[in-house]
Amino acid sequence: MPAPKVEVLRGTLDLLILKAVSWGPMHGYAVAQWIERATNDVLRIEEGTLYPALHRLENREWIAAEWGRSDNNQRAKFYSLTPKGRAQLRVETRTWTVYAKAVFEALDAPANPS
Amino acid sequence: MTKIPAWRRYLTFWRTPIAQDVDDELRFHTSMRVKEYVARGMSEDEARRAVAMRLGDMTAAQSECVELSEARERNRRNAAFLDALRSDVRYALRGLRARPGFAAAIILTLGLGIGANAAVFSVVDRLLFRTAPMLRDAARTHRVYLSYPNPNLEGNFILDGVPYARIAELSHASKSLVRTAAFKSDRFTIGEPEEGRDRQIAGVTASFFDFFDAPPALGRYFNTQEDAPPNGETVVVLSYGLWQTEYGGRADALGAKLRIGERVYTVIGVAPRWFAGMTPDTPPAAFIPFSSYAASFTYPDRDGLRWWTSYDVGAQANMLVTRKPGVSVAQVRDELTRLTRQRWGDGISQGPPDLQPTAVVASTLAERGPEQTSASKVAGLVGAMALVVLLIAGANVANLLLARALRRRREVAVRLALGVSRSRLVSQFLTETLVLAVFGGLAGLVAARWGGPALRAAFLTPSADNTVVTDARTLMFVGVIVVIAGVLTGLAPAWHAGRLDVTRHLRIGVREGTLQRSRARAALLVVQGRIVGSTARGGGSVRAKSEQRPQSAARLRRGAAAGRRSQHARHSARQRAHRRPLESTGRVGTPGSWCRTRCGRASNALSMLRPGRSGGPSGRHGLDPLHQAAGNPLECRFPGVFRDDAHADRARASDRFERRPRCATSGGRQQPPGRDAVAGSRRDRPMPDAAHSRARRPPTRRERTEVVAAR
Repeated sequence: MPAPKVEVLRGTLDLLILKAVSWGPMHGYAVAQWIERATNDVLRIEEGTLYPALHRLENREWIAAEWGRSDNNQRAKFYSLTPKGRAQLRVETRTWTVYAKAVFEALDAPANPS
Repeated sequence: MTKIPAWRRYLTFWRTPIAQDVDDELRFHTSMRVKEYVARGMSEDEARRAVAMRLGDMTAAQSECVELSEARERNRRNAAFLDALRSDVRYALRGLRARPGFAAAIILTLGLGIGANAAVFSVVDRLLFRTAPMLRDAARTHRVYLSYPNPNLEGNFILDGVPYARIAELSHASKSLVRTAAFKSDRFTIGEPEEGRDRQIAGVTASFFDFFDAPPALGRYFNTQEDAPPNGETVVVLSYGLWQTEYGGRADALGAKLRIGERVYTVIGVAPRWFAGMTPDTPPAAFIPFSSYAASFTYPDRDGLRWWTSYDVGAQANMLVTRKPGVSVAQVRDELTRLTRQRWGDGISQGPPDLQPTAVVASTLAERGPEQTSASKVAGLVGAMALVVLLIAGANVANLLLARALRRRREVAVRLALGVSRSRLVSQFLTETLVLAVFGGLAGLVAARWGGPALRAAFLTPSADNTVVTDARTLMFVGVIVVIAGVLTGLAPAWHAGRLDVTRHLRIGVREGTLQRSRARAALLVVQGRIVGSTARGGGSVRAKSEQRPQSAARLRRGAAAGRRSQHARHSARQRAHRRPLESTGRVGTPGSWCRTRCGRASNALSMLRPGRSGGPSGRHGLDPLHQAAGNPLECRFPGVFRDDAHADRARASDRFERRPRCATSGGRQQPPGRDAVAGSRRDRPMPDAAHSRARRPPTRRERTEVVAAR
């Protein structure tokens, strides 16, 4: 059984999904798998939030869905990144980097920052 | 048209219900997880349980996904609809630009019809339908008249005004009314005598303003104390217009002095913009208390009764009432009648007992009062005329559109064959006519802008807001008319497009279209003829048409023949026009230009001809046997086909034949139905061969009867 995992923060899930599907069309399971593997199984993906998030992104036209066949020939819905989504991914990556850096700096800061 | 993303096409291709899709997606996920767990060494059952535990309750997520998908689907459908609409409109505009004459004819025709209606509506609406602006509880508010039995003549006479004394009494005694008011207006000179102007001034009771949802723009309205007989206070409420023109809209207008008639009034308030009391046609310049108004006139003094106490020599006013909710008009009428009659025999009343009046509770609009006024009668007539004009315009436009639709059958057939759905085609035709109707409506508004003022000048007193184009109700009316006209005129062509036989029209080709007949077109022409006939006295046009072709009198009796007839008449007129120069130069019988074009059509039909098969598409009626031998090789080779089964064949084909093009081959001539064989053969003489034409003889009696029987 996998070790205890960290829940994905709300808001970052969108970013992770966009990053996942930027590698090519993926079904929801593959997206979850990719995120878990890419974070060395640290992040735990809740199916209950993953799929609504996927649909929300689809509604915003950041990702596009298409029904196809999986490797084992099952009918599956594949998501892929749209140009709009790619632009969004760039923006969110930048924002997230700035944000994370700021949080780290705050965590490392002394009691009276200069 | 914007490009539809590829995945959307898949979506429509699968067209599985949304919930099913979401279910499938989640089930796929579950099955993958189970596989993953099995791969890690669990048994199938263990894996299933573990996955179920891990996923927990997914119903919330599932319903959220379904909701999101539905929203997406809705957006997609809306976008597709807008896309289709946009492309339809663009296509329609392109088509109209390609045929500017056709478009202009339709737009002008519709424009005239709609313009006439808009102009008339703006008048009729004001006269008969629109209640005074800002009127509160308009549905429950009425004007009350008194109707007296006429001792000398049949029926009653209804007096416009009710004595002020009676109004006061009825308001006091009535239990079925929320409020009552008296109002009256007349022209007064305002301003100092040397620079005075005649303006409409309304005298209204203080309660009058309660009938409106119109807080004063400035200051206040007068109250009951200021409106007390005998003389009232000299206070005035200005109309917004007068405040603007005389006082520049300044707030210090309050307290200003204004001479109205003999007395000088103090301005205490300004009515809001558009407020015109109960007479929007003649908006008063100012409102003064009714008592002050009445005091401006002198009334005969009889038995010491004054204007506010006398029933017969006192001030008369229009009575305005609002029913209590739940009280019917009849109840109010009965109560007011009863109260009026109660006081009829009283000491202060002078009426003889057999002249007891009845109260009439009527519309607040004077023109819709208890008796029809002449203005409303005329307005109704003019409105009916305008509607007839619109009907004629609509019929004409429908006819033009139908003619165009008939010409476009090949285009439609090609598009159907290419996979355009019929519903799309129908909606496209409708869009086209709607676009035309919208343009027609715009043209109509322009026409109404020019023609309307003349009409209004005839019926309404001019006032500032009386412009057709800025009037929202007229615009709305035009909008409704545009949609109705667009849909109705577009129905026939759209219906045509919707039931087209693809293969036939693809095969036959475009040239065939023009001469084919449509029953719908014929019906439209007939209807139009009837309308024109009944309006323009005598139906001259219909008769003229029938006189053009006396030889086909039998066909005239058939109802739907009128359309064909006119086409026919036009057709033969065209032929005559072509033939005239030929005749004058003595070259009758040489193949002129008309002959060549007809031969072109004929060869087209001939290419479809399959000899030996009965009911083939070439017209064989009225074939002249002598000419068969000379010209058409097909007919020479298969004489039997054309002779033996002639009777049965004709009977069967006659119906179809009616809808086929008439054509003349170089040899065997085809006779249009209804054309006399002799006349036809002379006209259609195809061969330059002089010897041949000498050998011609009139058709035998048998042949002629055959022709008749075939019909």
